[in-house]
Amino acid sequence: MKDTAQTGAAAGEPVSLCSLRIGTALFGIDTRQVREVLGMAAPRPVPLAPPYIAGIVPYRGDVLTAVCFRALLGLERGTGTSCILVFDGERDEERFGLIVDGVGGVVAVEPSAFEANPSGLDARSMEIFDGAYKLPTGLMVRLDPRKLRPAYLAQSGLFGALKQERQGVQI
Amino acid sequence: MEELTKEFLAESQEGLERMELCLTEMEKRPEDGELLAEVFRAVHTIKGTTGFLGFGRLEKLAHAGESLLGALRDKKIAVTRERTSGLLQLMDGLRSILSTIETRGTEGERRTDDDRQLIELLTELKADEPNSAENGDPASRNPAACDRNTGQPVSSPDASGTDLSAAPSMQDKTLRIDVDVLNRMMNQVGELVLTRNQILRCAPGAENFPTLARRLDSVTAELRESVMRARMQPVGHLFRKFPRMVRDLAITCGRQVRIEFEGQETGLDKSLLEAVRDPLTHAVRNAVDHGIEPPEMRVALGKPVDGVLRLRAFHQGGSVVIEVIDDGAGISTERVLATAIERGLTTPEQAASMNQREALQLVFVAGFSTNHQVTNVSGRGVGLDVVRSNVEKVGGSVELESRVGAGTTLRMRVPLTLAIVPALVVRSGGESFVLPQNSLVELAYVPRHEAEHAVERIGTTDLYRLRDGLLPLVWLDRLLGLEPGASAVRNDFYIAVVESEGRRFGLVVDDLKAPQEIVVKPLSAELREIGVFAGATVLGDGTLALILDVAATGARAGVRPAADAENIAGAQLPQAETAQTAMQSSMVVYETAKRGSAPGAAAERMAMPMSAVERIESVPFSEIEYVGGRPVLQYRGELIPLQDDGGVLREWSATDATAAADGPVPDGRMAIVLICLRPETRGARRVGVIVRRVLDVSAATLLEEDAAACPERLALVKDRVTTLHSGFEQPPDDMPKTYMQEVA
Repeated sequence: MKDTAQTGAAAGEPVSLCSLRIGTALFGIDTRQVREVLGMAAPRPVPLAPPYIAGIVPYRGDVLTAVCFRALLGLERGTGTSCILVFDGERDEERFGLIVDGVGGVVAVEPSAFEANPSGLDARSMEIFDGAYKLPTGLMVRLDPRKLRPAYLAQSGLFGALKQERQGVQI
Repeated sequence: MEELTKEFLAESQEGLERMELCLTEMEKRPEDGELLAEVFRAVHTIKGTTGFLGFGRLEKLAHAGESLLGALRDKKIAVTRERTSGLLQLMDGLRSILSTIETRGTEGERRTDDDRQLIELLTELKADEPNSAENGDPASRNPAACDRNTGQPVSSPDASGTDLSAAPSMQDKTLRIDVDVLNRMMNQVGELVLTRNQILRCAPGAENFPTLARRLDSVTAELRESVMRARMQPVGHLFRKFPRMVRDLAITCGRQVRIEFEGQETGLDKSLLEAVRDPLTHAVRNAVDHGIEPPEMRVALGKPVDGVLRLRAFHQGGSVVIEVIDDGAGISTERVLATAIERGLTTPEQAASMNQREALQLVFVAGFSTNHQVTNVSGRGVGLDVVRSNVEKVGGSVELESRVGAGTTLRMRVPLTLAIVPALVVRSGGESFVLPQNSLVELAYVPRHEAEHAVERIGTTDLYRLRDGLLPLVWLDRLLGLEPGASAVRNDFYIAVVESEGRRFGLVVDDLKAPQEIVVKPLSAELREIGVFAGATVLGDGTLALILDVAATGARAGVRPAADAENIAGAQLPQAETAQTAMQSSMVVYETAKRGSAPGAAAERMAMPMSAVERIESVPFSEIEYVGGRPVLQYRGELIPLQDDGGVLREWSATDATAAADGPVPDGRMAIVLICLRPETRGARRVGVIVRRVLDVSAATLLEEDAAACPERLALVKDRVTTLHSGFEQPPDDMPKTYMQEVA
């Protein structure tokens, strides 16, 4: 998978984005980077896992680690329905999933409408957002799956780590 | 790399392995022409193919070897120890070139000189020099061979390393499978596709759906079986390198060792075969280096000069047992204990209450072997903790048996396959978790009214009294930070007594579910880092469950590995008796119906080897069905024949018949069935044995067979004569010889 966002921008052709929703906020991920969208997912939580990991889901005979996008944004876990976007790993990296509230249609946007992250963003948002497309209906924040990868998130250290403290046998 | 070259490498490696085996064999039987011919063929094939592929360096070396072998084959010169050594060096040389080709794709030119020296040596050996071969003093004239004799090959410094670990790299990736097995698998896949097609076409709620589902189930099971069988490799593959290793090692250490094999055809999953390779090498090294005494000491002790090292493999109750047996000095328990106390691994009080088996397990504790002194004193213990942790990593176990002066047996037990493991599903904090059966010791249920008093504490540690012993408790829900289940409200709960890597503790869970065979799925790296989970699995209902890593769970909860954690009743037995415990096996003791209808006839006690019993089930009487007059039971989708030698069913139906005269037959009667695994049989492996009641599980000593006096095998269980249920003991060949000697 190449850096499709950049190549699209260079060609000046419209980029097709898969739109997704958290609450009312709109986000977009290049469709070529999404492997599959699974509906109605209920991940099985993993105790002691970092807070941004929602759990694991069965996927094609394997176990997929799912990142909770709400947790990344510092929101409460959603209570309603949710969808999982599945991303392929590059080279040796593992597949992973991203849990969002809902997945909308595919939107074609002009690369010229893209603007990088404004300087006023907080550190966490800077870390996971690419920038935003200025659409007539509002802003659509572009996401890069590489920055949502569990390993990457763990490295950044901004989203909480493993609960590593040793718990003795006590009440 | 070219396909052709790859094939050549794999083939040559195999040829060299055969050659190695034949060469070590040849030292014992130099007159055997067949062995020589085999070696000749291997070298000849390599030479032929290399010429074709254009590997000049390899060809030259192989040619030199071939001409020496030709002379030997034609009986122009005799096979001597020196020449065999030369041939072994030739093999090392060939092997190192092969591995160079494998890693770099070329033969490599850097060690040309090495080859020349080796070729010279081979040519020299070819010349007929009877005196040097006979007087056995080649040192003055032949430095290379001399070094070989001391076990240090000079010609190929990397060869001995390759020999032990790196050489089989190509073989690791390839596997030879019988075409028949492959064909069968293909047929099964065809069947699977057909069934899938039918299911896809199947309308919802269709009538034939149950039939299809059943077929899918059976096809899946067959396919799984075939794939597992295809992955099975004979343990002999692993044993092959040992004759050479033992030979070199024996020369280095100045021992005389004969190596013997047993059960080489025993199959084991390929990945597991790789996993036990290093621990086994370690154990063999240990046995030669520290176990077997130098020849002069053996003579002084009245033992045969040649020490015997036996490698034995066999199947036992769903796992493969590999034993390394030596007839060396054995390990002195007192010295082990003294060292352990000195090293602070145990206290004198604990040591005093240990039986021999427990004491011997101390050599596996990390830290025991680091002290150099220990090696000299105890005679053993070099890195045995590494052996244990490696074997336990793949779900196996290691134990040691030893008798001073008679020898030592190191026994490794590994599961047949890694991918599918028997496990128990437990519930805690509203979620399902999976406990691998191999770490499970037993289960205890604490009812609600006892829950209050069942848990006692010292400091911050919760303890449970399990048969007079104190067991540290770990509350799974608290440890994992789950919604409190059992621990919050004083409800009833279950304790799963688990043991892994020397940690023994009780894991408190809310509920137990059915035991299952689970397919292990790896977790992503981020989740593996948590450390408590070994993987995940999909349960029957499609949900995921996490597999607990028992050792890591214990470690996280702060349970220390301790040899004193277990309190076996045998600990207080007198010394003479404890020495025997190692030779005993554990048995399920049960009672069958009365023999004969005489009112005085007592119920008979029978015993069944623990290893054969898979489960003990109580089955409602009404579920036992009859096929052609023989009782059968539908058990977890399997039809198993029932044995009722004791006539429990007959007795009960008789009482029922008399009862029927008075009124309706009571329905809720339960029959106790031991679900047993028949060793080493294909087809219907499981058998149900109906018993009246299960009495005990305890150690039993087999009595010597005496067909004249009593047709049945007898055993002593807690000083009472007990008849052994026939058909489930290990085949006589597998019975350790020491067993018999001990009893005799």
